[in-house]
Amino acid sequence: MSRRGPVVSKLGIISLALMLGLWGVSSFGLLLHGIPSLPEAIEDRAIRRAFKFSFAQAFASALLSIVLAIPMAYLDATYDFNGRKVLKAVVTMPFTLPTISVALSFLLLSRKGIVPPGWPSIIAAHTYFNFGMCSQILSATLASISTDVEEAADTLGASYWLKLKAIVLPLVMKGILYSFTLTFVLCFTSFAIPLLLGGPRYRTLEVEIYSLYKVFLDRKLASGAAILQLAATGLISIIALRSWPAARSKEARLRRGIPKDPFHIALLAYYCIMACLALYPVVYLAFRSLFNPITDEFSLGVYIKVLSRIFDPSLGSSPLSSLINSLFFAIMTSLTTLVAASLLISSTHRIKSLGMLISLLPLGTSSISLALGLYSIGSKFQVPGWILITFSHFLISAPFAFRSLEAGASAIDPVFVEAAETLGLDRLGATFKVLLPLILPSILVGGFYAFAMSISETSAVALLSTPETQTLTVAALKYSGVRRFQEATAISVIVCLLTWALLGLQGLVERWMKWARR
Amino acid sequence: MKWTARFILTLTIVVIVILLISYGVYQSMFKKVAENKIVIYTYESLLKWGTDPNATLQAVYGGFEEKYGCKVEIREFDDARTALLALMQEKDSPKADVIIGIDNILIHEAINADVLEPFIPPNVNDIPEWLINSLDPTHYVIPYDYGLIAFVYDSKRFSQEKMAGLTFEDLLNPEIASKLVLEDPTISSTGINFLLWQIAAYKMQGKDWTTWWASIKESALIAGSWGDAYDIFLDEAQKRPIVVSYGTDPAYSYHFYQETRYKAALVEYGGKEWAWLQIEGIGLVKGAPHKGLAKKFIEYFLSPEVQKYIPLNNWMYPANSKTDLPDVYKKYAINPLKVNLMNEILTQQEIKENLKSWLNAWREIVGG
Repeated sequence: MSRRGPVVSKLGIISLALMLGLWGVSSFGLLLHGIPSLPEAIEDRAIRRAFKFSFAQAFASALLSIVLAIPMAYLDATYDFNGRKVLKAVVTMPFTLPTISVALSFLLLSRKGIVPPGWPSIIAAHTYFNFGMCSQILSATLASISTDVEEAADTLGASYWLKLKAIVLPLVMKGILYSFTLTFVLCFTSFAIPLLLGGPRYRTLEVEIYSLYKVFLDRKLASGAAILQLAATGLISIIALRSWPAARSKEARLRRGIPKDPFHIALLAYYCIMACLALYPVVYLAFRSLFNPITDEFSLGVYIKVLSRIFDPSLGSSPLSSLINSLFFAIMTSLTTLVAASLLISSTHRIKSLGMLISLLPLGTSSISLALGLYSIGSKFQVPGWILITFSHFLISAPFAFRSLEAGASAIDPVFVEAAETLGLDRLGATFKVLLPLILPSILVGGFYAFAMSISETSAVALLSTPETQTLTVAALKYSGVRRFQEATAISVIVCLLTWALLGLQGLVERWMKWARR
Repeated sequence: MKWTARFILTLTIVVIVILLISYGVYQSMFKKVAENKIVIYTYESLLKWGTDPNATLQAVYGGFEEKYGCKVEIREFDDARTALLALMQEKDSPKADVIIGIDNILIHEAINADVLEPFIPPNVNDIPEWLINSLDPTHYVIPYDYGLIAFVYDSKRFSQEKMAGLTFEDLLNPEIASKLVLEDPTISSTGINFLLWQIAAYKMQGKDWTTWWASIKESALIAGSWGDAYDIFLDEAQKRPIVVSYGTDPAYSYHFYQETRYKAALVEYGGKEWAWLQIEGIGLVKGAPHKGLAKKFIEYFLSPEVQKYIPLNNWMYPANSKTDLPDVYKKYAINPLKVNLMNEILTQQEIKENLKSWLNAWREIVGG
């Protein structure tokens, strides 16, 4: 463990410096105005109320998401069955939906009395949005842990519950903590869902900050509140990351056929029910995009419209160009975050933990203040909008790539990397030749979430983009702003299809890598 | 070729760089080389509510481009507040020349932020003086349209008789309140306009405005934006057939769907109808890079040539008095000139001084 070449730490530091530099530059104004206004923000009753609510609902939502995700992740990582990939793709769908669609479907559910209105509906919507993401990260962590121990426990006659408690949970603790912190931070800073479902009474801090910036035009108090938000998300992440040591494994998990006992059938049934729940809003959106309420007709025409090259003055550009922009930003985000993450996990333990923490800063920073910060940088230094958007997407997606890779890497016995180093590879070489191929599922998950975060991001692009650089989500926003819902929902469906296509592509890569290894 | 670590890393970085360069080239193809241009900041739905928004925008902006041989660059923000926020961010090096959409509430903040410059266009006499004075007597912005805030209801789901002669006090009746969708004034512009209407009504009667909110918050639904509120209103499953919206809505639904079920109502006190007027203005940005053209554009935007598009594309009354109104307006919209305006009860000075404390009080009552 002591042999670490100087090259290694330097490269990890590049990732760190990039993250910290970009975040620091865009949040400079926030820190400048926010820190002196902190006492004032803490005094403010509305801010205090929002803070308490943000904290409570984020904690509950994150916990619930993980509890719901564990059985799915276990099933997915341990067994192979027909349709496994499809189920997995379906439960990840909610995360890639525009949050406003999620909020609207839950509003409808609460009106029908299926979900209680107010805070329960917010927690339900947040859980719905995140449980698939948690399941994916947990499953990728589990997938790098061997089944040997469990099989030994089986032989010794351990019950399912004991096995879960004594073996599976400790092994995936790292993954649980990572997905917990991600979900917590996402829910703490959530905007569209509490805005629609909570009304003025159940407001998150992000809603309060937005209102202070935009309606009160009180930059100081808004920045003070944003610092408070940053402190809370930062504190939770530090506590979570300084915790449990990771479990190690000596070989990758081999999936086996699913046993036909009642317990496993119940697990599978549960998985299928969750998948149906996840599918419901997507089906609803797809229906809405095909149905024209004015003419009472069904047609696919709207998809031809939103993919056309013809200039649409409502957008200020052609719909096709928004697709190109979205794809560029999303691919760029996946590639850059994966490179940064790979460099980071090749570094020393200290740099890694620092990186994990720093990567959460942008996610914990209020998105409106981050976007405004980037906006003033752009206007001061004449930086083109598309470069700023690339930066902002890198910032908000990096934590997903970092966490996925690190969760996978932490389950791999360092003996492998050390052996490679003994054989003459430097640490970077060992990481790329030995470690990364072993945690391929985690890399694919990290890349996927970086892609998904970028393609569904709205608040930064809405402010930073011009018609030439606007993305699909901004186009959807503009269409729904003038109540052209068919176009808006059709775009949401296209975003879903794109993320699905990426999942399919990743399945192919995984298969090809397995084949190549043989 | 060996797939060494450095090779994979270099390859990925090369791919990233190639992608960046090609996208940069792709973006530079859009750059308009026009020296002669004008940059306009506005909200994203301006003039897009007509039968053919593309043709309207082409006529308005294209018309100016042809007339002055220049390029018009439109930058849209999700609402006028965000456009103002953008102006404030780039105050030291302004990019925009003109801002469209500053209303009679936002005007105080805009003047306070010191991002506008007073300008009186040559055709100012075509705009009624009372309208100019109600928006901004100091001419930082000039009105281009105006319209009333109103309760819009679906007469198929809520009877017309119950909406007649309505007062704010009547709305507190749980039977009506439970059918109502409002907008949050600390988030939405429509919401602030509604709040001021209600405050004015209570001031007129010498009552404490906060009592109304303390009572209504239990049963009315308070949405984050006008769009959300309208979605809830239209979705029959939500069972909320009354929404705070605009007095021209019935004309809109007749024009597009020949539908007369959606109606607008105001409040009635002492046998008179009372309403709140929203006035939207266009202004010159302080330090505008293309000031000459910007002034021409403001004049052009206020001329009948553009104003004739306002009623059926922005669904507000055109500010220019020389503009004809379409028939649907005469039949279905509430004419602001024929009702009493609550705006006279709350002076501009009062709004300027108290808006933030009102919003704070609202936050305490409704959020607490």
